[in-house]
Amino acid sequence: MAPKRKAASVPKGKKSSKKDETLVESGSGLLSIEAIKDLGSEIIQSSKYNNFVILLEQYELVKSELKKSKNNQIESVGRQVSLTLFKCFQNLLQNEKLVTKKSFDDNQKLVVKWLISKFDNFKSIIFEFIQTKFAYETSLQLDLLEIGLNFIKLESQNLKSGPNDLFFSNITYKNLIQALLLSENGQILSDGSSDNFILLEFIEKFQINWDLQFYFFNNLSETLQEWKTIKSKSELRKIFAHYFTIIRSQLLLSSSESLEESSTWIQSKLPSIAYKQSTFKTQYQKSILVILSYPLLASQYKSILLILHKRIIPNMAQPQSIMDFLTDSYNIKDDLIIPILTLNSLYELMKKYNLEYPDFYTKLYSLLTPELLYTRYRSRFFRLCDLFLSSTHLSANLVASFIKKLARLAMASSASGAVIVIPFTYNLLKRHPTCMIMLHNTSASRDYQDPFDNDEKDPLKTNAIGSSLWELETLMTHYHPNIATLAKIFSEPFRKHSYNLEDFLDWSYITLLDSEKTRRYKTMAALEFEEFSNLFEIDDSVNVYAKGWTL
Amino acid sequence: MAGSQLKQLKEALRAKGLVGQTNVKKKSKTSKRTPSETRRNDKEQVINEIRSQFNQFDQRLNRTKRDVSVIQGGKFVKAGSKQHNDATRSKSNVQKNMKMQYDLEKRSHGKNSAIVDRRFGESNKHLSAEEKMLERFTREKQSQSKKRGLYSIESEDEYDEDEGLTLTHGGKVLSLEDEDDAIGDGSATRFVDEDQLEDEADQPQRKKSKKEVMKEIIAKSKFYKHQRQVEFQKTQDNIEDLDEEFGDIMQEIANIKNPAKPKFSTKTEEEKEYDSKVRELTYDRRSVPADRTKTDEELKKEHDDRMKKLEADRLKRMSGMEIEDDRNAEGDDLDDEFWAGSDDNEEDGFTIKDSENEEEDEEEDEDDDNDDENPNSKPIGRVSVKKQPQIIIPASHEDFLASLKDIDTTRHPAYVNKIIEIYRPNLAEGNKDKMNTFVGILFEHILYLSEDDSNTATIEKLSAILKKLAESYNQVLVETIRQEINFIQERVLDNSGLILKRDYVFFIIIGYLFSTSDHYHLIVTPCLIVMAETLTTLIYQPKASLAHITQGIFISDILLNYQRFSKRYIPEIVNFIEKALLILSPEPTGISPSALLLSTNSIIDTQLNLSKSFKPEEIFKTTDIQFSIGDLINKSNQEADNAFKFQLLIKLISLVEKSVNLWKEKTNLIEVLNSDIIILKHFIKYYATQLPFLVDLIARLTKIRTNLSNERIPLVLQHHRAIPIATYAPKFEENFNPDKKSYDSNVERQEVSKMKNQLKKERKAALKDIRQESRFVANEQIEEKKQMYDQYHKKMANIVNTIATTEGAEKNEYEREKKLRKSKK
Repeated sequence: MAPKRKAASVPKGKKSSKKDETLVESGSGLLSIEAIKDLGSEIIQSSKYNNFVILLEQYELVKSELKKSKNNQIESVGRQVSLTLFKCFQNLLQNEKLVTKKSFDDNQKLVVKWLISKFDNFKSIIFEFIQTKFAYETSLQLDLLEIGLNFIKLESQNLKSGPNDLFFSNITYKNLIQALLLSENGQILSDGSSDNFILLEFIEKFQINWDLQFYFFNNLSETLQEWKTIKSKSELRKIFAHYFTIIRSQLLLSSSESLEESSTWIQSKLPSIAYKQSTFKTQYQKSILVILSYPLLASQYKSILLILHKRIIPNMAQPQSIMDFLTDSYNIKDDLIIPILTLNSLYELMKKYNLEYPDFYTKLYSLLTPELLYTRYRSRFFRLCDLFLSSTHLSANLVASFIKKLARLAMASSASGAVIVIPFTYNLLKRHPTCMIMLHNTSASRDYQDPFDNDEKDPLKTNAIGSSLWELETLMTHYHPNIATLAKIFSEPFRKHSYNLEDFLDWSYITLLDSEKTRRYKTMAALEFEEFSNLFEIDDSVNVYAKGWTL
Repeated sequence: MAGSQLKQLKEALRAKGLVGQTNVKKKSKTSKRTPSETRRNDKEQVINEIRSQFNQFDQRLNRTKRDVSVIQGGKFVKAGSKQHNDATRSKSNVQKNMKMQYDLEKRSHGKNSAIVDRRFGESNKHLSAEEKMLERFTREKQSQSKKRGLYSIESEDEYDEDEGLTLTHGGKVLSLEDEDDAIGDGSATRFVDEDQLEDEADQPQRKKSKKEVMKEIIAKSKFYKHQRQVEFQKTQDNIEDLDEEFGDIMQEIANIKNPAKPKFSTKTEEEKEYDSKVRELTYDRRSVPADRTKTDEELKKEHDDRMKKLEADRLKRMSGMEIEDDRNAEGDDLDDEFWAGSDDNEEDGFTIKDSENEEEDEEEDEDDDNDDENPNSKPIGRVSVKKQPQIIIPASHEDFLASLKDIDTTRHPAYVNKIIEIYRPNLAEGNKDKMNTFVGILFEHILYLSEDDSNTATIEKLSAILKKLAESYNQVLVETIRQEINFIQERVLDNSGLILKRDYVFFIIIGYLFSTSDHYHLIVTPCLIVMAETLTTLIYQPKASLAHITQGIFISDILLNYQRFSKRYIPEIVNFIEKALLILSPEPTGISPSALLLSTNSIIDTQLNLSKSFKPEEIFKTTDIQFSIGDLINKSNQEADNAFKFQLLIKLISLVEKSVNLWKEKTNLIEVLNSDIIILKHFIKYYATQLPFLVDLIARLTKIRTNLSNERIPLVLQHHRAIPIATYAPKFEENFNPDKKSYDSNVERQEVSKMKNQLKKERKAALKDIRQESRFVANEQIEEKKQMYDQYHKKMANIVNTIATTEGAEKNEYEREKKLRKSKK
């Protein structure tokens, strides 16, 4: 078929007439799939580069159509165009027709230049498609992402200056990730990440290839900085959501043994700089610091804090630089959870990087608010708090303040909160026997007044040590039998060495009830023997069970 | 003594008079020494003495340079002393004995046809030959006579013939009698008893022999047999005679026309009646003395006692003690109790007679018929249910609803009563199980009815019935309720903490039915958890709605009801009340100082606040406000209405009061009061005129607070009774004596322990012996084997030697021959 076409290819008019035919066929300026295939094979076999222009024009139409509504036909046309173009450019790249050589004359150079511009044009169309939100989630976008990534691979292999050079097509990749981050697809989920389907597709490849990871952070910090100034708040949040979705998974840096052996997308060695951990870490840190300075949603704040100490801090060159961010989050007043989540990272910094935090315990003490025992992250807090208060060198005043405050909180807490506070207090008392005076004080005078100052912010000055734990005594009559029994440990000799806190941290009403569900009974359920004349309030009745209520 | 050993021996023997001239100086010897008979007995002894004298090795003492003591046989013994040597000697003796025994056994080993001499006295050395023979003879005689024992099968004739076979001696027949006669003269041998002989002589009549006795018996039995036969024949004859005459008699009777009848009925009507009465009486149950009618005082006392017991049980359960269920669910008796109660209900006016339902009426009538028919025929006093009742007990709530389709809800209690009556467990087998499921269904039905506001009266009545039934049918009810709790929890989780109207009623009924004061209760505890959960979820909803508050108010009220007796502390209620008050209060941010609040540190404005400008016109004197659950749910879902909110506020304040009254004893009440007073003071700024009681309330709460804080003393929880350290002081014995084994004053016990000790020792010794023996046997066997091998090797060496020598000889011969031949050549 091709030779036949070659013979009849010279007259331009014929070709245009053919084009007219196709236009008529589809009725909307779109080529048929057959026509596209023909155009593609013409390019490859007879170097009809003008066909590029026709094919690239198709995208405009496809784009406008898809924005309006779901249309499978148009989508398949778009896919065919993309496939054809990819094959053509693949062919050109492999035959080194996109590289100017010294031996070329001016005409040839002009052709190469023109081809390159068409190639760039195609790439920018790809990025545009990735970025644009269509009426529905098209697989065309995924195809284009695939093509974009494959171009990176092809460029890296074919555009290097010498056969033995190590090259990564940085610019194309940079444009690609920018398009990804700016993508309008997807929503910000409740955990601060994004459900952008193109992004999720990309992450699959991102996770296993070191080159994608390295150049991602290598390229991004300046761009992010730039966006910060020009983009709107909601846009920045979206960018952050995409960014967070990408980085929340484990990086190869920390997981794999040696970077040199980890797989790469371009399937060849990278330039040596890509294997320098320090370079990577510096770049990583830069981008992280920029992204953390974005205006974040509360949920995004929480989710980044959740992974900060495990996933991010180890990858940073100088983790101290994140200190400011942590301090700011720790000092947030109107949200209780953010400071609690910050604690983990702060502890990590203090432990490994010798960070000094002034008035740490005062701040920790201020976290003991009535809401604490109702939050989802209470177990996380108590785990760390146990760690912070584990030193036996802490002053008794300080420990007593914590104990007293916790007891206060338990007074109005949920059952699960009380379950934590009791063994926690027990362990503290066991560790700091001086505080036992709060349970057993025989030296009080007659006109004793409770010296505890609930308003005092400094745990060293609350005078809690002079107070007593009446609140915990009241918990001995807690409505839940197990908690009541647990609270009775304070009136028994302190024989047990310590309680394993983990057994108590993760109770909730649901688990408490579950343990009731499985309970079997031996005797009859005891009945009320008091007689009530009525269940509901009736005018003249005296002995009513639900006084003041009618059906 | 001098000379060789032989000479010495001879000398010694002679000196003892054992060799040489024994009859020398006979006279003097007889006078001096014992007769030869005794001498012979001494001989052994004498010889032994001489033997031991000559064996010097046995006599030798081991002298040791140093004084060394060893333990031997549990005693300290000087090494080389006489005792020591004795011990070793005895040991060697034991060894020798064992060796002998072993050899003996070995010799007889594997031989199963060894002859054992069982003849009497053959091994007894103390009997002379004469005595032996005599004894043998006696034995034989005895064994023969024994054969003719009581149970001998042989006939008497044979016995007689046997007599012919007798032993003779010197031509005379030998027999025991003869011997008796022969030796009976007085020479005392051990075979004759003189006394016996004399007795025999004295007896006037000889005992009959066995033969005679038997003959007599046979004769008698034959005689009696004959007599019996004669008698039998006689009766047979008589019967035959009668049979022959029977036809005639019958004919004669037929001929007579009933003249005989009056002959039998001589009794008057009165008498007959009397007879029949008497007969009836035999069937009647024997009357039991009736229980005495109890006086009012007794009844009151009984009731008080019962109440006291129930109260005591409740207290026990409250403190978490297990009480044993002495009142095992006896379906029958409890049922009666139920029935005693249900009659009252009928008196109150829901009798079935008013029923419009004809079917039911019929049923009732038939039932009555059953009861009424034939008063004579129910002497045993049991109602027999002959036919399947028309009212069928439902197996599920759907069935029940289907059967209730046509019945007005107000008449449900009557219908239920009917079912209970028909399916009393003592009427038919399986009724108890059916009732059990029915109680669960009844509970579901009450919840089902609660969706409609107009059913209050029905629910009340059904609940009363349920409460009585719950006493006897607990199991399925408990299961149903537990399932319901699960449903409620699902609703709480799904519906952002909001529950349905039936759940409101559910919680009321639980409190009404079950003992909510228990430390642990199978149903109440999970209910408490669910209720507390609803309280917290509604407070920590992202947006607390009015529905959450109204529901919380209800739940808190019921929860406080639950704790009216046990007064347990519920932190969730404290939190809820405070939070709800804050949400409802106008300008909540104006409250200060916020640090005293328990539920939060930061007060946030919500959209639910009462508006500042709202001033209700009504003046509320008290906190008594009546709420309808249905209205509550409906109103809370509508737009927030200030008047409604104000009512809620009053209810909340009443809850504050209620909770404070309940928890008067709690040591942490001061903190609760602190926050309550702050908030109430805030309200008084706005509604002092509308809520006049508020001032009083605050004054009272403040007073309680000051009292409490004056009384407050630090905790002393760690006052524990000192546990004494166990002392192990040695016990001193006054009269200590190292030889004394026991200081037990009880003789019997001492004996017993002595015996025990002895037994233990013996046992040990026996074990030791056994072990020693087996060890010895093993050693012997090894030794033997070695010997055998040695012998074998020797033998083989011998053979080889002989072969070698003969071979060598032959070889020499050959050489010689060869040489010879060579030389010949």
